[in-house]
Formats: sequence, C-alpha cells, structure tokens
Amino acid sequence: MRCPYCGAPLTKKKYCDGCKEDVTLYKNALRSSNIYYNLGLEQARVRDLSNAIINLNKSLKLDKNNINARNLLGLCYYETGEVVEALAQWVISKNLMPKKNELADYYIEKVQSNPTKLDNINQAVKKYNFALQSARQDGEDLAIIQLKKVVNLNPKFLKAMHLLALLYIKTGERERAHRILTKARKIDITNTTTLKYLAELGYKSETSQTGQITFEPDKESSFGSLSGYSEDRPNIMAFVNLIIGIIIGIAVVGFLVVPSVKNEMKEEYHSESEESNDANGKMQAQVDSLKATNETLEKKIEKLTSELEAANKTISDNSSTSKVDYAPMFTAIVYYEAQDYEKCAIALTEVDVSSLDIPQAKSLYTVMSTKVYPDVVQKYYQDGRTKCNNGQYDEALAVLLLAYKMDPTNADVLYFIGRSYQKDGDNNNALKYYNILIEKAPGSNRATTAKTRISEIEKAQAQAQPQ
Amino acid sequence: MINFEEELAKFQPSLEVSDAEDVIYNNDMTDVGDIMKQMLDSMSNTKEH
Repeated sequence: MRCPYCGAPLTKKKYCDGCKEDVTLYKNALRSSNIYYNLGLEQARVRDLSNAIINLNKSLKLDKNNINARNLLGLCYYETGEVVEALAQWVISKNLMPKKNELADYYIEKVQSNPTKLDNINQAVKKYNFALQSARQDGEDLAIIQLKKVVNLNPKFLKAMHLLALLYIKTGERERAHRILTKARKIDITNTTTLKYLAELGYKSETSQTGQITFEPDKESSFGSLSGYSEDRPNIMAFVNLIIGIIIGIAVVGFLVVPSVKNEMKEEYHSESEESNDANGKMQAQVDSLKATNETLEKKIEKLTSELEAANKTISDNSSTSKVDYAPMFTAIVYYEAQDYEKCAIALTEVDVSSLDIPQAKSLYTVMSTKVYPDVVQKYYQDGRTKCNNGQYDEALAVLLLAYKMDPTNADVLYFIGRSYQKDGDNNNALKYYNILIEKAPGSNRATTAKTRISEIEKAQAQAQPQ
Repeated sequence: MINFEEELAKFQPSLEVSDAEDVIYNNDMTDVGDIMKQMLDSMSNTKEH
C-alpha cells in the first residue's frame, strides 16, 4: 500500500511518513474496496453475476489497483458472454501489475491459446449485432435464426439469449422462450431481465421462505478457486502446511512417479530389444539369401569354367590337327602368277604334300609342279653337271639335290649327285645315291654306269684296307 | 405485460474483439484515490493564491 500523494509506502499510521498527509480516508477507501470485492466474490460463487459485476465495479471505483477485483470482474463478464469486456479488464489488470499477476496471465493465455474459439466468439458477436438490427427492422424470423446460431457458437452469451427469448415471446413461442430463459438463469441466477421475462411467461421465481432466491452452488464453477481478501496476519499453519505439502510431494514422487518412470524405461528397453531382434532376424535372412545366391553363382562359374576349358581343348585339338604350313604354297602361287617358275619350283619343294588336307590344295600343287618342275630339273641338272665337271662339288650338289627333290626318279640327276659325292671323297653318300639310281632306273645307261662306279669305290676301299 | 419495443430498445450492440483496444483506452480508471489527490491539489493551489 502506497501513499496516493507521494507514492511512499504507508504504515499503520494515519498519515504518510513521506509527505505527512492524512491518509485515513484513502485507507478507508481501500478497505471498502476490499469489502465490495469480498461481496462480489461471494455473489459470483453462487452465480449471482449481475450483482457481482455491480459490486466489483464499486470496488474498482474505490481502488482501481484492486487486482483481485478486476480479475474477478473480467471473469464475470466472460461468464456472461461479454468476452471483449473481460479481455479489457484482464489486460488493464496486467498493465497495472505486470509481475506476479498469474491470474490475469492465465486468463489471457487461455483465451489467446484457442484462436478458433475466439473466432467463434467474435462471429457470435457479429451475428448478434446483425440479429439486433434485423429485430429492430421487424425481421424477427431472420433475427431468431441468427440468434440460434449465436447461442450455439457462444452458449454463455446472455444478451443474445435474452433477445432470443424476447423474440420468442413476441412470436408466441412461449415454451421455447422458457427453455432459453432457464438456460440463461443457470448462467446468472438473479439477472433482472431473465427474471422479468420469466415472470411475463407466468413462471414465478423460486424463492425460499426468507424471500431469498434459492440456488444450488456450483462447486466446479470458474469461481470456486478464487479466494476472498483478508488482512495479512502471521500464520504458522501456513508454514506447517507447506512442510506437509513438500513431504506429500516427495512421497508421491517416490511411490507413483518413480515406479512409473521405471516401468516406462523397462517398456522402452523391451521394445528396443524386440526391434533389435527383428532387425537381426532380417539381417540373418538376408545373409542366408546371399549365401544361397553365392553358392548358385559359384556353381555357374564352375560349369562355365569347365565349358571354357572344354572349348579351349577343342580349339587346341583343332589347331593341332591342322598344322599345315601353307606359307610355301602361297609363296609358290605368287611366283607362279609372276611366271618366275624357278622360284616357284624352289617354293614347291618346301611344301609337305602329304600334309595338305584340302583337296583343292593338292590339285593346285599338282598343276604347278607338273608345269614348272621339268624345266627347272633339266636346268639344274645341266648346271650341276657343269659344276661337277669343273670341280665345284658343293655348288653342284646344291642344285642337284634341289632337282632330286623335284624329281626323285631322274637318273641323270641321281648319277651326278653320286658322282659329285664320289669326287668330293664322300663315298658313303656316293654309294647311297648310286644304289637309289639302280633301284629307281634299273635298265638305264646311268644305272649301268653307276654300277661301274660302285665297283670302283669298292675296289678302292678294298685296297685302302690294311693287309 | 412487457412492451416489446421498449425492451428491444434496451438491447445495445455488443463489442467485437477488434473493439477491445478502444474499450481498454477509454476505460474510466478514476478511483477515489485519484479524486482525493485532485481535491488536495486543488486545495493547495487555492492556498497559494
């Protein structure tokens, strides 16, 4: 409590210590404000809201800083559907006492935290204003429709209920009027308008023997939690209650909260364990599946490897069976085409005729050899004989042996091969070719001569042997 | 017997949420303390003159 003149804190003295002004009247005003607040609170608790609003307004006229009275006034307005008035009182309350004003905080937060409900309330107000305008312009039916919606949107909107009841009365729907007024009376039991309209309908107020209006106090109403104003007095019971409260709180935590938390942790652990087991099972299944796939693939690889080896073997066999060297054949063809028959013949001597596995190749060989061999053999024979006669035995043997390859039955060639070996002192080879000559051309002159040469050699060998 | 027109005239339009600011600013906050202070100021001014 502060001095209204200087703002200094007031004591129990009749004057202010700061400005020395007499504050008796001021203190009395504050005391009266609290008395009105207590009265308003008692009336609000029994839903005598009309009178509560009157007394709470008086309380605030005596002390505008009576925060409890202002918060309660806002609540009374809210209960009668006057949400804007209610919000105004709570905002002013919060402005006058920004700190430790939990009640105003709670009410404002409660209204603002539900934008849908606030929007519904605002819609109800708009529809009510529209219905009032319609009613004043003789549009009762439209007004009734609108007011029904208003009451649905905001069932505590007392003014809308009164207007709806009035319109029902005018249109002769007395039962409906009674029903809506009964609802209105449950909100505010002593509202003058409600009681007047009920009386108009022929319903008398339910009064007790003492003339007071009876009611059933609503223990769960919005006003049940509010407490009356009382002077500050030291109270040891508060401290005792605090200690007891703390002990009960600890006991509740120990016996209720802790086991609950433990159970939650166990359940969480179990659920996580089950999830882990499920995951392991899935992983194992995947591993098994991959192993099976791996085995299948390994079998495929083995099969393919064996097939590959078999194929390689087949290729190898094929290649080994066809080892024919066609290079000399091709060379011979090239020289044959170029009409260089000597080189063609030399190339043909390199061909292994027995290995030719293609009939066409054999035919080609025969054609070429028949064509080129006779002339070349004749040429080499002449050349070989000349060289042999000139003492060039190696050169003679080189051409004569080629001629022998081309024509193994040519008696002249065979004779001069033997003769060249004989003159060169190689009697063994000389005898060899002389014998071939006698075998291949037995009736020829060269065969007869060869026999003579063999006799010469044998004689010479006999003479050369020691006695 | 109530008079419908008279009763209807007693009903006033309700305030919408958008009017809340005006209600707050136009709220008559004067209490007994303010009146006493005004009176005291008035008296002291009178004494000086």
